[in-house]
Amino acid sequence: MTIAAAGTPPATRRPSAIRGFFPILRGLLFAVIGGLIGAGIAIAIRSAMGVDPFDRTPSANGTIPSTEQIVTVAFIVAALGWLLGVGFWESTVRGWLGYQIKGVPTDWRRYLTVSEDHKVIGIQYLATFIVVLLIAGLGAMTMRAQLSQPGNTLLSPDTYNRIMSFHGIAMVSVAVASVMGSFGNYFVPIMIGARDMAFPRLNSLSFWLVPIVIVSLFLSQLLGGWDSGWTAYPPLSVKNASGQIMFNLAIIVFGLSSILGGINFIVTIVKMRAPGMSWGRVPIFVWSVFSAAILATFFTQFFAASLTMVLLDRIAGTGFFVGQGGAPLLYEHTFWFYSHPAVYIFVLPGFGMALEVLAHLSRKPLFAYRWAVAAFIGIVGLSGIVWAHHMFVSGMPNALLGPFLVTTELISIPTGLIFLSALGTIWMGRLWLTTPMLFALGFVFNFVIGGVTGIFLADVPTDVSLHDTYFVVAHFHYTIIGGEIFALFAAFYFWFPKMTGRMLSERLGKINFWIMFIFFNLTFLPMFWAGLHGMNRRIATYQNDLANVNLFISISAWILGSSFLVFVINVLWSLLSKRAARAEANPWKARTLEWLVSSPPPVENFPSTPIVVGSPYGYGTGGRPHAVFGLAGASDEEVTA
Amino acid sequence: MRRHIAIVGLVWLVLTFAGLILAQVAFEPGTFSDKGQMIDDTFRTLLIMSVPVFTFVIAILGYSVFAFRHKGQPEGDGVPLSGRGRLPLAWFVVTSAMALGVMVYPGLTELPKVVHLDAQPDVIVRIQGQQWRWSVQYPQTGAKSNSELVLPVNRKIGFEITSIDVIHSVWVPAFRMRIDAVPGLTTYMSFTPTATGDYGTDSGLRLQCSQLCGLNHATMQMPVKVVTDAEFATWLAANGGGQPSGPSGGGQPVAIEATAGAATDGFATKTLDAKAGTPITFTFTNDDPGTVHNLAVTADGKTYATDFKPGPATMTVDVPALPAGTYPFLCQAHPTTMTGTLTVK
Repeated sequence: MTIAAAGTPPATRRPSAIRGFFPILRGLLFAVIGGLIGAGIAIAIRSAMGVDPFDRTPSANGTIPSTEQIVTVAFIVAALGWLLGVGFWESTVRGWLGYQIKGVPTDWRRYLTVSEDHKVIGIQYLATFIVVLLIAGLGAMTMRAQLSQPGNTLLSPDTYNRIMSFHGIAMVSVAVASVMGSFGNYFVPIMIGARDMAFPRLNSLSFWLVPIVIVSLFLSQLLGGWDSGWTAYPPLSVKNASGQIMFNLAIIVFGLSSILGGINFIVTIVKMRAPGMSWGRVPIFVWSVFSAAILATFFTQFFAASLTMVLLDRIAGTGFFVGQGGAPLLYEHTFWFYSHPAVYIFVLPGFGMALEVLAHLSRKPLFAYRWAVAAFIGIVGLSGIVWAHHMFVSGMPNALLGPFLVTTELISIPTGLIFLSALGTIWMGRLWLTTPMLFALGFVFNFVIGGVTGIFLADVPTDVSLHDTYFVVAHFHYTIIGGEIFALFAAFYFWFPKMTGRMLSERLGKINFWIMFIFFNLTFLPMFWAGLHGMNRRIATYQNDLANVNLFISISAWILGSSFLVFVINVLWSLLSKRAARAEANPWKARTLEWLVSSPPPVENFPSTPIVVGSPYGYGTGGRPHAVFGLAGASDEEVTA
Repeated sequence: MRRHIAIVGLVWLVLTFAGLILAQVAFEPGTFSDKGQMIDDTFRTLLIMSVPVFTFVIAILGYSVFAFRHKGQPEGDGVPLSGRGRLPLAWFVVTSAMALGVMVYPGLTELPKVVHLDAQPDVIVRIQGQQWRWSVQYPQTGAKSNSELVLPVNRKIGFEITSIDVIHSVWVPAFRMRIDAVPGLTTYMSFTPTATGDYGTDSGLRLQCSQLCGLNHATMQMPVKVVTDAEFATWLAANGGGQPSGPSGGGQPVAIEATAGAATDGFATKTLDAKAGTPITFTFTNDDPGTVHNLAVTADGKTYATDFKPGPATMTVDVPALPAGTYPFLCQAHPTTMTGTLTVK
């Protein structure tokens, strides 16, 4: 093969900016070539089977199976081409073939190719998902423009449905991967005193699968997009435009990325903790990522299986969900097997992050640490047996309603323990109201609204009325934006100095927080009201009597959107301006391990293996530090928990 | 510490008192059904129960931010409360008791009342969803409508709901009731309308699809009208009610079939024959598994059509006596591929 053309340039030559993008450009090229090869294979197989490869006859569902079969095979080979081109040829495949593996550049170019350093991968995830967050946010702004008045013709119903569907899945992907992928990857190994993740190469594979997902979601628009939301319920998803198959393939790949990441976190946290890092000394953020990783590892496959069945219904005519014997409710069950636990994949790292910031910036031990850990484990356990509360009006047997009402409301007990921990931590503290602290406090405020309104949806009698209305839209935005995204911002403002060695502007940070906090609430609180007044979700237009409340929501939403500009300006200014303050090793005077090393941390994370000797939250006790650096040569066996 | 607790306790009481007053405000539009009233009452109960929980968190959060904040970096650490001991256990017990309480009332006690199905409703209404319109049928009288759902006030209504293509959901905001319309399944719902009204005066009286179903999901609506018994009887009569219902109208039988692949290959027979001057009963057998077809005959500018059903299924339609001539027929789901000609001699 002649693919090994890309070598590392000699160290003496100054790298040009173009060369930095070489792996990505080559990845794209290989993806195109792979796509053509894949299409060729599909066409050849169809010809060999004696069918017209370009048969345009619609199936009983109105789709064109020939096109979709070709696109599916092309997608698979293109994905492999992308991975080889972007760097897995050098980093991995060469090794399999007995050649020497090539090194990765050490300057900025390492962010643009396959790096196995968890800190590089963390930043790759963070940059990627901030971009996705902003794009999907623009989708939301467009939707609010359409909904600013009833009967608006700004967007056609088809365009609206496609933007709404894209916004949904893009934000779900942000919710799944933004905290875990970025801050989890960057900080979990450091916080447990490890040099890297357990499987660094697998980690890079988890990340480099993600661009396939995002590009495919855009490319699907060339095939008519998809209008079935992020839930993709059949039979609609078996009968709609061919863009649907790109959605299915993309999300199956995203699931693979999620599962690989989940396994990696579990093994890393179980096996790679520094000496003395007993389970009782593991920082709460690590516990939260551990819990979410268990969910990602064990539940994601159900979504992938559901999407595969839909795909097969389209390209192979299997009839899982359509036609005689097809069972649309089967999909709803298997989809929610994953997709309810998924909301805890979103929010558990958010809980962990908020608790982490609250403890360090209240200068207090994390209150009821063990109960908070127990709450995470309780949520992991319960999350697997609540899925059908999404299906109270689906037509499933009435006998299932009561049990799922009970299991769902049980989840309020561990969630309540998280509030105990948060409130106990700030009580009698010395609150350092920096930007990350404000976001963490905002999280608590928003999440109590999200949590309390969840009871109305867990209760079958009220859910019958509120299901699929804006009440639900408001509720889950309170938990996901108000919860997880506020925690993401807390994490960003908290850890940005550590990751970059530069401080963010506190003034801009506070402006960012207050606009976001006020207009988040002004956007989503009125949605509860709209839902109670008969506004159902996923609609391109609505009844005239809801005009005023929707205009109010739209204006609030646009101002909320503008707060992200403040954020972007803050980040760019800090990164690019010479006047931006440099970050010392421990700007927040916090105790966990990442603050014991320089900002940014050295490649190997620690000068020598840290030895953990105390609690990460020993504020005010005058006791031992969290960790000390052992003498060179100290072995793992010398210190035990 | 005691002073802080006393102040927070006071703030909590004041906020709770204010919240409970606010929770009395009637902010929902009125409901038009008995079960809607139950649902609204449940909502109100939950709202009142959630007020002290919400204000508890807000009181502690707000007071802590106010009382324990520092300008700039605080010197020294806060009080090292570890949160071990009895307090978390007490919290766990109290919150568990509250969760169990709300499960039982209003959860499990109200649930059976709301999902209860009347075994013998006064009026049976069949609702069929398809992309993107509703059709309703009253099998007791044979009345049908594609333009409005009319219900008599104070009568128990039993709904039988299905869909012929994708999942839809039957929702009338003013009744508060909802159930999905699923292809291949019949779902059920029953309640009693309690007040007269129509869509013109209350936009909640509309049959709205509430499960994303594609292009025109947002506008897949049908006006709903609740009327008196007398008005209902008149409406039924004007909409085909009173005719004998059932599969056969007793006209001369004409049979036609669609087999697998009919969507592209057309009906099994492309021509049909019938006698002039006698009513005709068409029996259409759809043997195309899972694919929706129907039979529609056009005569004198009118279309006589069977229901849409996925195969295997049999549907009938009665056509009045026709003069000699040729008449086109087709499947409305596949109007370009499934066509034919009826010859009346």
